[in-house]
Amino acid sequence: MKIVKTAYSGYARIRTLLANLVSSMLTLTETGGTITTDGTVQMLFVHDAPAGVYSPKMLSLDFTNQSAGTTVKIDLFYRIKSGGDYRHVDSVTFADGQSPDLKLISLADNRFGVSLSIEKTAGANADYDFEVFYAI
Amino acid sequence: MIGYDNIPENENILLDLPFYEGGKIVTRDQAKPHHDGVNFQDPGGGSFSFAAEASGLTVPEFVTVGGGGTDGVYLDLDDALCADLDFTAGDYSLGVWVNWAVGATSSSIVMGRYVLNNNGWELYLTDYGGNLSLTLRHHHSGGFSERTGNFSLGWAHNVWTLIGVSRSGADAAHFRNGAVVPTTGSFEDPETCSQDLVIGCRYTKNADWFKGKMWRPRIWNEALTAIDWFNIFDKERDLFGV
Repeated sequence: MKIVKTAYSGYARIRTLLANLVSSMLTLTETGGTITTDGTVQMLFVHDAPAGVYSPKMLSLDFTNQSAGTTVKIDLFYRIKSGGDYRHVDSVTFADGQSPDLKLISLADNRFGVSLSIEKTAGANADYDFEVFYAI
Repeated sequence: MIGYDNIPENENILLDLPFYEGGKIVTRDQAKPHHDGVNFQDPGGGSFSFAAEASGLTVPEFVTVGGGGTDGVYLDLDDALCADLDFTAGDYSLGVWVNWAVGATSSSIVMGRYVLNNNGWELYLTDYGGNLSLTLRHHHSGGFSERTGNFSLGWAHNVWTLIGVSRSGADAAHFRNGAVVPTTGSFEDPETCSQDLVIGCRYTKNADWFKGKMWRPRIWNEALTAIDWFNIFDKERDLFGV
């Protein structure tokens, strides 16, 4: 049996243990907005240097305003070592009007950085509502 | 896992900028209103530098080189996108972690949405003859005075500190690292404001530069309690070794 010696006991110890437990819980968080494409590569979401392991969950992107003849590309990059470069993971292209309008793109856990971008490659500029969920 | 909005301190949060983007121009708001378009601005003289603390948390440093019109850097948000931060009446709170360096000017604006002696609110640090203070000020085009507000003493340079203010009625409680500190002064309601939100500089965006590091400016439309401020500090202090 392992004996753990502590300098405190009773209520103080319970409080500390509870505080440690709560602090270790990830918080499911969200950000988002509306981005107007302009033909350049535009940032949707970047977590450039997380303080530790965290869990990006999902990108939601609304294509309601995308018209026929328009194409956008969503690119996903991850950094998988401290100080390393971003590496391209995936690229998803959406052409013309979309049905259903709302697309959900799953994201994987990460420790050193994640980047999501949007680029209009053909057609008209438009407004795209988006949100990103992550547990941190 | 716990939901962000279920954390008691986040229930009435309007703006929350954790600066996850590193050196990008835009930074995202993780509070529910999604204030879209908070931008890092560099007029030319200063710069932003991003580096990790010992905890691994990356924070921006406002590298201010002097007190001139382009010597600093700041963040702003267009006034049309932050009408909800126009606190003409009622309670609100402001919070932010700072590591305040010695600058070239006595006043360092932490954040504000105001026009001097006319309308709005501002939060600033002052280094005046070695007296380091924090002031929350309201501006007035009418009323008894052009400015009302209160200040607290005992702030410090070059140490990470959680600033908190909770405005309620004629008073605003100041909190340093989750603990209340004495204040002097009182408030009238500020006149309505249609100015950009600024973080790190004067409303004119050419003076009173903040110099040092900053993390997670937050704004609430309620007066956070002493317990709220203690909880925020207690959860985040290890990120800064305080």
